[in-house]
Amino acid sequence: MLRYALGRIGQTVPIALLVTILIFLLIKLVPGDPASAILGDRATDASVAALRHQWGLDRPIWEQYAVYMRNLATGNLGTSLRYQSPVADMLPARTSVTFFLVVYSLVLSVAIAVPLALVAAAYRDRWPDQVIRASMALPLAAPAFWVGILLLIVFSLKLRLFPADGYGGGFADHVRHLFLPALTLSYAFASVLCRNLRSSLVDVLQTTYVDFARAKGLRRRVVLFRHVFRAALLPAVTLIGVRLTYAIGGSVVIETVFAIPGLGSWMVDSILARDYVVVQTLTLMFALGTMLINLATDLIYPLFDPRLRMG
Amino acid sequence: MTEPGLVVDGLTVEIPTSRGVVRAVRGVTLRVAPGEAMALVGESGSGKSMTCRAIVRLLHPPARITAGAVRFQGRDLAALSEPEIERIRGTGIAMVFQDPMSALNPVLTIERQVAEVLPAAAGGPRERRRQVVALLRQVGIADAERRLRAYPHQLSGGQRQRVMLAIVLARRPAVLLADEPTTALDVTIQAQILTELRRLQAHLGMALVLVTHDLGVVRRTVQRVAVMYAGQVVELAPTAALFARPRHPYTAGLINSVPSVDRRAALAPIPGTPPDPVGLGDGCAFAPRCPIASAECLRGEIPLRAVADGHWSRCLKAHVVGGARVAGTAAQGS
Repeated sequence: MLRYALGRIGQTVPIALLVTILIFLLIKLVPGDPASAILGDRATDASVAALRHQWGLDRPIWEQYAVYMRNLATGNLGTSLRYQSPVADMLPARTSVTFFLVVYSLVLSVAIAVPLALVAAAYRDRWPDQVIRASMALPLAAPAFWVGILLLIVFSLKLRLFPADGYGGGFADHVRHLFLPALTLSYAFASVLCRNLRSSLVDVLQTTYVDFARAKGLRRRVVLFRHVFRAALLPAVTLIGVRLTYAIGGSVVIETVFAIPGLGSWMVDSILARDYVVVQTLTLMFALGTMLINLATDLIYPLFDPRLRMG
Repeated sequence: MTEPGLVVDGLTVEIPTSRGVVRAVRGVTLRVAPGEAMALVGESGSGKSMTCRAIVRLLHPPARITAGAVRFQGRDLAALSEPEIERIRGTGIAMVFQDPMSALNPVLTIERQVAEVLPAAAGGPRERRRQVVALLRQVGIADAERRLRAYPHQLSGGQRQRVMLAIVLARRPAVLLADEPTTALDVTIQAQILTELRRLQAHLGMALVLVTHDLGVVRRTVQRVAVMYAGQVVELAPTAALFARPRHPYTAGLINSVPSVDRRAALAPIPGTPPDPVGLGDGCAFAPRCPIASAECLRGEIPLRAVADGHWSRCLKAHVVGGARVAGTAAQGS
């Protein structure tokens, strides 16, 4: 098990390095010179050249990469061109907002999907199952930004049940402020999770070990929660990992719609402002976040499935 | 007055399919006395497993019991609610399955799966663990303590089958339905498990219904045999009588198709294949494959009739079956 974990972590390192190279090059490939973009209309050739020299943009590309990596290693993420303050100082607050939003949406997805999947599987092919399956197919056809705006209009502007934007202060206030955004981010996943969980529940319900658990004389409830549910959750673990990475991407749209000060909205603002230092850092953060989630999924999976515990 | 043991009376199981209704079990009637060991024999699809599943109400929808009764301890199991049948399963009637790999939950430890059948009053964790170890030892698992934390995939097939036995025996059921408990195992392990099963059955005074297609196992293990074909019991007899003189051509065919060291005759497989389970009509289902069938065999329902003391056959020509077998063997010899 330890060897598996170390091996899996070891695999991540070269990929992470590759990611830093890609992101570094990607920014270089974007048309437009950041120095002239920052200096704007007042730029002279001399001032642009001076700024390029100050940032090291006139040096060979591999030297620039070496500097970039050295800065990363020492926690120097650069200075936001727009705000003129270190990115590293702004990052924690923004990250915690997005983290809250993503985890919140995951909790909502599970809270919606698990009970519905249990009911659907228990009443397989009868009307409760049909109703749940049909209603869970609908969200797949509705784009998140549209549903978000719809929720915003109905629950915030018309019914005034939830605030329309912002993050609030304190945990309870966060929960209230982020309810609609988290719901928007979660509904599509809830439907995927529900359908996935239902079908794995149905599969597990037909296994011999469930028959045997019943033949042993165990109560229906015990069979369902101890024998069926645990085994049926296995495919969902991977699915949750994959969807968490989607949720990070989805936060870009949702945070913009709901004006939430997280990483996603910061990314959009920075792209529009050509704040390339921030864009570069955030792209790296998103990529590393995705890798970490995948790593965590792979490390957690054997805890659920003993057959995968090796070594 | 309630009859002792288990009485299956006219049990019928139907499965609606897109091609029509499959009558998987057709009016099966059996009596299993307390402490008795009997076998249900037949080829795949003859309805023997389905009969067992119907008895403990573990049929998978859309299969369901459409007629008949299962009387046990004064109640009709076929008519009980799910919570009521849950109280019968395990303690009254237990069932073990063919493939021990798929019958144990892959994500729970052996200890967990054995301990969960112990009664709530079995004591604290330490006492429960002691009981689990004792049960595993009872079924012949040598290093029981070390196996507690193992998962099913870490055990051999024979050990898994022993664990399954330990689990059902923990509740000392009055009747054990064993659905091909040794089919998935190596021959040497098969013999060990059967010996174990017989020893425990005698020790606990439990009735055993052994489902198998292996006549060698039948001969060594049980006192009475019910032979099933196309969802019906076609012959029911004490083991010795059945092997000495089968009274149904299907049984005779089964016995002739088993290789034997002491019978030098050539193997005689049964010609043809089992009938299509959809749209089985009246008349003998075996008639198309039967060497002695005639037109009357296809007319009307053929009842199970006594041909000797405790020996029943669903054949109109039960009196000539033994002769037919001898004639058949002679014909092959020439």
